[in-house]
Amino acid sequence: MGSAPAILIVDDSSDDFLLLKRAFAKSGVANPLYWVRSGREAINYLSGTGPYNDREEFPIPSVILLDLNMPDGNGFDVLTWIRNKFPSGGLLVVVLTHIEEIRKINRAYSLGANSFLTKPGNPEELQELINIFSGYWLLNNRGPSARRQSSADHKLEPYDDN
Amino acid sequence: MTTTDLVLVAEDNPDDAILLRRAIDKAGITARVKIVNDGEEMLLYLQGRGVYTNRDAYPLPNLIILDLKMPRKSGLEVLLWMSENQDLAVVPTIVLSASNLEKDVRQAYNLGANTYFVKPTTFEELVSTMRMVKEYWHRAVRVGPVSMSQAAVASDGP
Repeated sequence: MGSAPAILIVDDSSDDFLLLKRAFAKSGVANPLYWVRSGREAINYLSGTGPYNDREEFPIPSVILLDLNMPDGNGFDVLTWIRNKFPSGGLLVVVLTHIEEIRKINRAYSLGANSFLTKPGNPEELQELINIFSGYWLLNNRGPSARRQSSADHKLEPYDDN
Repeated sequence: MTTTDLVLVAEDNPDDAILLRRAIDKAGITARVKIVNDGEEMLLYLQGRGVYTNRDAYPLPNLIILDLKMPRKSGLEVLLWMSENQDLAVVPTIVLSASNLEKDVRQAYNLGANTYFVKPTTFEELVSTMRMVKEYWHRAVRVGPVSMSQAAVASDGP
């Protein structure tokens, strides 16, 4: 894996992926982008099964951009699966979905999404959103290092000041 | 964030609290800012106990900024309590801690923190971080904690 952590885009729309890819490039984001088109494919990617079994080629991402409305396993299935396998401390998940899905925001947060964004209606607004997204999640935010976790990581350990 | 929004901050170091308030102002965040001194006071506020029983005077926040290492109750203990109270799950919670330890980062996220920022070392960087917070959470969809119960019924159903 290169030095910049990977971003995984889970979105069934190739148009939306291309727009995102262009926006990230214009934002100057050097992080490698990976794209899967369905919930099932996302789970295969993250579990390293099928064509995704080479972790050098398909690294565990540090941030996932997740569309909610997809065929073959919707975004909530993916979110539930992720939070079972990768507790919040292991992977950041930002929902990026169409405005029609906004009513599902509570469910997304309660299933462990770190944030909820809606897809802007035009490329200019998308560019602005990705600029802000990149500054926030890739430059300023201290994300966890990606790795699988044991359930022991859930426990609240006594605090030490070291 | 609007002038009617409330940012609730837990910060035990008085100097850091003053700097943070100034940085929030300078970043152009117009929301009201309430700073409490430690995790225990943050819990009293969120639970509406002690001097915080009046919800009109002390409404639930729209954004929480939380230090980790605080006396009486730590930021992690606050996060633990919040994670057990789903009504607060949609309030964005930003950890702002001097600690860059992987263990602290992981625990904070595991307990439901939305974001983890390592405290910047200069005031200018702190302003820049707060500006980022303002721009990002202005964009991100948030649900006010007061209307959450209604929103949950309307949106997700049983």
